[in-house]
Amino acid sequence: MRKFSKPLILCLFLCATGYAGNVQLLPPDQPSGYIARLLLNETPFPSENGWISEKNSKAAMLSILCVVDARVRHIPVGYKQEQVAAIRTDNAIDVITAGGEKGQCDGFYKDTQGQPVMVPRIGERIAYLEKLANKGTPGRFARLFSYAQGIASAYVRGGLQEADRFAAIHQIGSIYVTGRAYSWMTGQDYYHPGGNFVKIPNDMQGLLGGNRFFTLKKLEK
Amino acid sequence: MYTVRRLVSGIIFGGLLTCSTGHAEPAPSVSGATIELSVTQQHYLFDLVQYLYRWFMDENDVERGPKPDRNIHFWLREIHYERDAGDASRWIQVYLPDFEIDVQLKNSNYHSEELAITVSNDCFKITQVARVPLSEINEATYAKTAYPYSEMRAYLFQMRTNAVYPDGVMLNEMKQATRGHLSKEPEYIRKGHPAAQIIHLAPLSPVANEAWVFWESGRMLLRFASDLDLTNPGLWDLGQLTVDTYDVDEQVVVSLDEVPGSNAYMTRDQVGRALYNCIILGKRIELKPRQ
Repeated sequence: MRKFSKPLILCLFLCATGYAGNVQLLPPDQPSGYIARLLLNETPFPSENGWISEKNSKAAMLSILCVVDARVRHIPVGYKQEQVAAIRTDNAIDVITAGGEKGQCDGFYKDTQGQPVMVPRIGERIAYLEKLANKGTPGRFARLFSYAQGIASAYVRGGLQEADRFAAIHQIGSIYVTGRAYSWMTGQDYYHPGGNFVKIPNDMQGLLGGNRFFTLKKLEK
Repeated sequence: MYTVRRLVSGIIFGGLLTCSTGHAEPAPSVSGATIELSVTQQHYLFDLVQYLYRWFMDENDVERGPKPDRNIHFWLREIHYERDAGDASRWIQVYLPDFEIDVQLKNSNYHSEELAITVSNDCFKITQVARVPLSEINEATYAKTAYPYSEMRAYLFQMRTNAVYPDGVMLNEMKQATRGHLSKEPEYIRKGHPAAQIIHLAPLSPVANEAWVFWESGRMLLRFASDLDLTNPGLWDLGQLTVDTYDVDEQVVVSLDEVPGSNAYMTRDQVGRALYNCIILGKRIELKPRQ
């Protein structure tokens, strides 16, 4: 009788019980894998500053994806795309990487060959979280990974339906706004994207997953 | 050591202030909702203002604040976020109408299977600070308490240079974590891992789970922040999950209007505040190789 090595037996056991490969994050050189990493990097996991709940972090991921989408497809009347996204494009990856390493999305940029890449610290964080997500039975970490990859893949396929919680906002305080979110930053008041960006207050769910979301001031026609 | 010192200083200052002023008040309540007693106590709220004083307020706030013979007001309410199953964390919002500053506090209490840790704090800690106009606040939803502004001001003045730094185990863990992050920075690698690195630690606040470090030769700010208490030894095993870095040469602008929409920059004012806390109020440490 053929003898199996202990590691092989363990591997077969883990595969059979579903204890390995809880999450299937696509490679970063695929658009949906790259977008998923942005969503995972920008939202808190348990133990991290800004963590509230799984539902809250998922909502933050979706809202960040809506920001990217709004910068590509929903430029408000009176604005040019360059003013909102620092680039003119119809491509989500271009929007994410606009401005280089310290550009619109800190740490997400294109290398000298024009390939979308991330700074090492982001890759390390994602790898660390992915390792935890694949540990034991699938839990919150695995579900957050699956969600990020799921909505990123759906978006790239063109299947992301309107689920933008900020789309219908027309007024914040005395300021008329365009609706939708066009920027997000760490949820501390000393971060603000400047320009015509208007903070979406807490009571309009503008604070999600440790991030503050911003819409745009409405311009006169 | 750090915890003991903080506890002792908290008791001393809290006791001194409470005993000397006689203004300790019961937990305020509104609409039947009682706010956590610990958050309404004078020494806690004064520590909270001291944090704001060091990290957010400027001369405009002080000049337009309450008159010395008036009270400083604190409006409080519990925020009921939808939590995960088994999560007993709580959130409280503290609004300071005199300064139109809104502070969100969290007392974490949940377990993470993946990390094999229980995330909990010994008290409510600041998670967010924002400036919110009084006109946007629904006053009726808050419980209220107040303390003499003169005492508040005297406390801030007395404590303006008072600083508590990490020490003992926490200091060692912070050094290791800082060294670990520096070793990945291009500036550190470019210099071929020089013999010693100078860092400056900002004072800690008992009401915030964050610690700032300025790496002098690399001209970089590091912010360690977490949902865990900084004194929890498990925090420093989390590595990538705790730190943000800011290059003070490349990531600073006078106004964020210069880089609209980007999330990679801080203003000169914000960085100046961090450097003041790290260098002027902070503690200078030389990180030796393999330390």
